[in-house]
Amino acid sequence: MTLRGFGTGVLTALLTLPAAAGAQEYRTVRQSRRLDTSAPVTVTVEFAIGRFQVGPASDGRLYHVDLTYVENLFDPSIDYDAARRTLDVRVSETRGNIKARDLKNPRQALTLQLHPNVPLDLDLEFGAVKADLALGGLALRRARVETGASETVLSFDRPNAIICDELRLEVGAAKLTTRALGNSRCRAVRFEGAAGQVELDLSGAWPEGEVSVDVSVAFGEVRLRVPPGIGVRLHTERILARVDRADLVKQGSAYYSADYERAATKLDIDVSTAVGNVVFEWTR
Amino acid sequence: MRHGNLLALTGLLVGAGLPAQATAQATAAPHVVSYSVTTSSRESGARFEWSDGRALEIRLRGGDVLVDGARVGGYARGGALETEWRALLAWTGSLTTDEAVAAVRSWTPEGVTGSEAQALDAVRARFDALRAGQTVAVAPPAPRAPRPEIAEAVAAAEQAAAEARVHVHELRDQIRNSVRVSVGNGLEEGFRPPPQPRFTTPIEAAFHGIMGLLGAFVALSAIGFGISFFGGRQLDVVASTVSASCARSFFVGLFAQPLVIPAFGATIAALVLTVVGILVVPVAIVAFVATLIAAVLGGYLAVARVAGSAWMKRRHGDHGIEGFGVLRSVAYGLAILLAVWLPAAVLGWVPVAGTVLTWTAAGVTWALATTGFGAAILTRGGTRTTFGHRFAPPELPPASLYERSGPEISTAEWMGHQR
Repeated sequence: MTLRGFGTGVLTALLTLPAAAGAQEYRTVRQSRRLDTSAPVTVTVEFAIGRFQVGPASDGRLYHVDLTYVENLFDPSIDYDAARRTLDVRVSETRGNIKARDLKNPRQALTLQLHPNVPLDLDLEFGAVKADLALGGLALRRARVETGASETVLSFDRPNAIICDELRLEVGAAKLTTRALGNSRCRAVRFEGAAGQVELDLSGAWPEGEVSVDVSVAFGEVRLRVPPGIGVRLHTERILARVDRADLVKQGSAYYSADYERAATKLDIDVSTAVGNVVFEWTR
Repeated sequence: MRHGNLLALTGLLVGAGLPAQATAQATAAPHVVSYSVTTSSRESGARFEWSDGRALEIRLRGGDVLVDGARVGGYARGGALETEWRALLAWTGSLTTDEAVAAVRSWTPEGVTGSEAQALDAVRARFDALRAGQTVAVAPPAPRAPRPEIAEAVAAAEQAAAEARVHVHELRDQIRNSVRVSVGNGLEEGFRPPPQPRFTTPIEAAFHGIMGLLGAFVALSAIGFGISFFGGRQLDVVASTVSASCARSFFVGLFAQPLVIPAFGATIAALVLTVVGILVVPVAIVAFVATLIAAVLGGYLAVARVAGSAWMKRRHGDHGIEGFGVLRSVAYGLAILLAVWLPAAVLGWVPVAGTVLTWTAAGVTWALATTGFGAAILTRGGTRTTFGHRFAPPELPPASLYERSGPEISTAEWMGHQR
């Protein structure tokens, strides 16, 4: 390579950069459906890039979808099968190569509203997304949230209308913040993460009895926040991880809160991590 | 124009100002169960799905008005029909299905004439056939003609807002100035404002880390290229010392580090004691710091030169001792040396492991810089070859750089020749 060639390459790159950052065409789709509470609905969402919001819908609608997407990049589909009672929202099929600048798209957004009186099986999968999942007040039977490189806030500001079987969170390299997971009223909470910072706020109206919370993170920090009055059994499996267990007392291979036996709700928390921190703390 | 339509619709349906309300008139007959709108710069459309599986789709695209894909007329881009149509879609997109059906059935756009009117009639005929599951009344968000007192209040509010904006700008400037002063004072007193918590995803953190690493590579490469151009021989002498006397260079650099401050102090003290030297103390401070930076940076680049030339020998069969090869070897070497930071840049956000990786990279970099610093001291900044030799491997033929007859000899060789 000569100096002239090197200089030409740099100059070419500088000249082509502005052209690469051209304008994008956006398309907006809004869809809603009349309320029908005759049977549960299975909702599947795949969303690749952008902002994602989930929340309760107003009266009269089974669901409402509000989607703004880059027209020349994605080929989305919003399908409701009335016979099978399934709603599929997929904004993941791409028309071309996704560039780095597309990962920070400020305008591409999906808002999904679901009626609180309809029992739901929820399956959410998203990639490079900033997500706000306000699932409080819905009637979740089970829910699965799978994220890639996302910034996700999962909140239950109101108790789930029914007892939920399982809440499963599968997180890649992401930051996940949860609020009042107890209001999900799930019998089991499963968290699997490859790497990232995870904060599990385990406050809220848990169902009485034993609740299983399994947390598995390869690399990263897991922060467990539990309100007083809930019995806690914490069991950890770790390799290069530090555990901050507050005032939990070790009995056998696990750590217990002082009122574990008397508590109406018992959280059995199993944490496994390779490298990182596990922090347990009481909320005041 | 649109407001006129909305007003008419309001009066037609519920009267002004009433909120949406449903009157329960459920019907078992086929009715619309789903409603969707699609808008983009090129087209806009609405789709209705019936409970019996039928669908109605109306689109305005490319100057054509399409009903279920068939052209029923045309429209002018940006004309009355398209404007009213887009306004209808913008409003009904947020309504329930029953409300949307009621709204489109009552749609009466104004100002649509000519061929657009024909298309509008065709669309409205299809809208009239729509049936909602429940008869509902909708109140469009129509701004009504403001009463005089309201208009006055609005004008007063706008005036107050304008004044408030002026005050806000003044306050903003005051706050900025006071913050500048406070921060300046705080920094002078050794105060550092606490870092603001800011969320970064792991991808962002890794991206920032890699970009930082790339920036360091570019900056060091630029310095390395400059030194190669203007002090290539000195750089080669330091590099040869690193190569030939690596351990010695490291320990010299290691033991020299604690002596830097005393040496600096002694220099300043000596200048002050001479009284006349006080005048050159500022110059001495600058010169000392510049020399120190040059020694450390030059030493580090010399280590990069050694690493890069070894890499070039492995890949290309030569050490890059002439012309552009020198620059390439420095660039390769810097890439190799900075690669130790790559794990830290990518995984630096991981608790514990990130810290370990960062400190490991820092330790390796310190060791390399110390070695280069020691070599720079041993060679007196690349002017002595006592501890080094030609920067050429033994297995290669004699390098031409120092053995070429004529003016192309190093300063060190020239000085040795003089002795």
